[in-house]
Amino acid sequence: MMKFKTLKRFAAAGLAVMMTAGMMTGCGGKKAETNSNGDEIVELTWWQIGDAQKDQEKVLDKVNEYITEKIGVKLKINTAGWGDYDQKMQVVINTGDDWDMCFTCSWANNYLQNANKGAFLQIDDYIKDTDMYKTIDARFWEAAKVQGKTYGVPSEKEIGSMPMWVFTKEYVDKYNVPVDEIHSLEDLEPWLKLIKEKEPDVVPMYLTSSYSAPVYMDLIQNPVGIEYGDDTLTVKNVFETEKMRYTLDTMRKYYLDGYINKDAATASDDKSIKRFVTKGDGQPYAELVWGKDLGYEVVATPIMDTYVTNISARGALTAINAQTEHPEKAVELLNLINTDEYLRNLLNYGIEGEHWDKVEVPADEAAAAEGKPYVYDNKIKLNEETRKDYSVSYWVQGGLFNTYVLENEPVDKWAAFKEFNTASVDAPSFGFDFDIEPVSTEVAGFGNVMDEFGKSLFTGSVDPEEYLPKLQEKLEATGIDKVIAEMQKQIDEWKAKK
Amino acid sequence: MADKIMSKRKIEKRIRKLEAGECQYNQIKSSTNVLFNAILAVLSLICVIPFIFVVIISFTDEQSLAMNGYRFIPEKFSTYAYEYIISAGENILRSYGVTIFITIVGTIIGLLLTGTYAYALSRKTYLFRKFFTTVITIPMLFSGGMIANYLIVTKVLMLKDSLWALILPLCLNSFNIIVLRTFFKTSIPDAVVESAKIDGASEWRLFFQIVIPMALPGLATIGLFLTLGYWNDWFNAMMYMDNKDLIPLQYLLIQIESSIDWLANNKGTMGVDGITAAANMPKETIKMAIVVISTLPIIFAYPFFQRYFVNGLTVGAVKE
Repeated sequence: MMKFKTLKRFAAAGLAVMMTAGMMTGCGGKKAETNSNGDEIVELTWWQIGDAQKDQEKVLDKVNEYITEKIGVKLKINTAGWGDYDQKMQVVINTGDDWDMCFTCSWANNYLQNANKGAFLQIDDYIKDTDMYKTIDARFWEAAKVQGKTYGVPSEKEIGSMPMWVFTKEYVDKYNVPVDEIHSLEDLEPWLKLIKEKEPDVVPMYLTSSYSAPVYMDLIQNPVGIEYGDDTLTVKNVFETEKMRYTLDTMRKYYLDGYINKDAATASDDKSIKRFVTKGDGQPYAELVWGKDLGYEVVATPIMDTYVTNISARGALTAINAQTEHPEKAVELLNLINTDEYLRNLLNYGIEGEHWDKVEVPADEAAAAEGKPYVYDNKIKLNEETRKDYSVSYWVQGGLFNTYVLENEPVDKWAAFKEFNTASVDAPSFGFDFDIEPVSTEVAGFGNVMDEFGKSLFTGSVDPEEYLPKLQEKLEATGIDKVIAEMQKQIDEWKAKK
Repeated sequence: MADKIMSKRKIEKRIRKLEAGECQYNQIKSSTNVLFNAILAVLSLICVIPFIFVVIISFTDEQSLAMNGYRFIPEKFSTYAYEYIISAGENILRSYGVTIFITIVGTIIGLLLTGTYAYALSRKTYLFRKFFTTVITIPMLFSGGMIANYLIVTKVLMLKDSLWALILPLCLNSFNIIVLRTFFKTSIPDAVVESAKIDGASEWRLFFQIVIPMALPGLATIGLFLTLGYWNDWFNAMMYMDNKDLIPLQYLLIQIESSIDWLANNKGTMGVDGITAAANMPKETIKMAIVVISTLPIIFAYPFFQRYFVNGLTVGAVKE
């Protein structure tokens, strides 16, 4: 009996210790630190997409050294992997967790929905007088507006996505293919035929399951949208447009002629397969990236003009938590990242001398780039040993135009981006946000229908004569007419207001 | 003397012969036997081959993998993946340590909590038996959902970024308690408990020195459930762990897998950025090597627990 009592006492004491320990770690007192200017230092938590980096703490120490002195901010970065980010941020946002800034865009941690929900801080008043507001292209700021209010700071990069045909250089040189003259799907035909005859080992047109045939419209809610260049703003089903029908027939023809790999609808990219042409979504100098990925040189040509849509211009933004205690500091930090050359490159590439070194720009290249914007005096050589310890996605953190370019890239890369952005055409629907609330049930059904038919139709694996009516039937059953009517109503209102 | 031994041997021989003869009556036809064995062999091959394949891929040269695809006999062997994990994969080894730690500590704590709870419920003399049975039945039928769980763990218990967040949510499970309670009820006679009490054992001594040794097979079963649960858990890490130094191996694997999948499926939206991001991902052979090193320890855990299962079969075989 005695023994039992002592044990009980021990257990009780142990429990008490554990609970207090838990509380101590939980509510550890925040001591107000100050920097040499006497500003109080605040810590900001920033959620980013991508995988955690081994040297992240090391780089952050350097970053913090700099920004505590400059603006009195200490930065903490949390990451969630590409596939997990959406789910993770839903939990973080919905439970009112402690965070100050987060990455958001049109394809992960949805910007529009979160802005509508009130999760993000409306920052119009904070950003008015900042430098970044002046330097970042006005169209990015326009795209960041939801019902006239701004909820995020856009990362300045390519504003539209440019669908391109990507050719293997080896065959282009061998057969003198006039790549620059090829644009539409139909332009490809004679060359596909030639390759098919002359190079039996090569797949003339290599497509994978992520392929989608060239679409000449802004798919606001796939498959419903507005055609490029249609200023009357008529909402259409993409499968009812002339162009798409023609494209699908051509794809089918190519498939039957044996130009396309037979497993296109289900294949995932197999780099060991030799191909003549494939489709890619590009940007200026994308050839370099593709070439490096594939291990041989490629040349590319745009399929059509590049259009700016809400989806493309909202490719990357950083939003601020509506509940944050330090909105001014967060804006100040984002402003610094988007305008300060030292800080931007530090966050982007890591520590100079450890992760990268400055290298000279060849004199002739420098001379050629003279006078162009966003051209720097040096390029960057990444340290082969340590680069894997710190390699983040650059546009997650902020604009690209004040980063140095890599050794193998042209020094005027960002000038070319800027030019590309200026040359991109606004889609007629640019700036229009579709509120899916009234038709959310119908929209939810589209995904399944597209999964069922989309890939096989786009790759020409099935006959459009037979399957297109089936697809239409299913879409109608899901209620596509209601969605079109609703979108038309909303876009008419939007147009009237403009 | 020698005679005696001889005759003993003879007797043994005879007995064996008799037994063998008796066995014949219990045997199935030899053709059926072959058929069943063949079926079972095929089934076990189906289970084993994928894993053998994983091992082979982990030893394949990355270059020849890209050229020829998966093969049972690769063109070129290489231990590069394992060298990479040992030399550069600091975080992989650390995650390995985290997994081992939470599995051991979690299983011990879980067994202690489940065992004591189930034992109390199994005793007819326990006053609040009904009440505590109801308490554990509720979470079996209803669940608070993800958000509620998250709030409790991070806001009430303040366990965010702590290893306890990986241990505590898994250690008590209604199903395990009920299994163990039934086991206690059926395998530990009241008479044993009573007699121990009469001899002056306290409740603790009774539990640890009388009940536990008698209930080892049951505890081993629950222990195996818990071990597997902890070893394979990644969801809690995804929810509660922002500190990349404290993530278990399985979550590390899931992260790599889901990132690669996601990047492959979103080529259209990500464009060139996706290709740059994918280039930083570990290669196929390294992924497979991680699978191998994460599976091996758990394979060795099975025989360890199996010893108790065999014991468990004989418990209660003879009724008195």
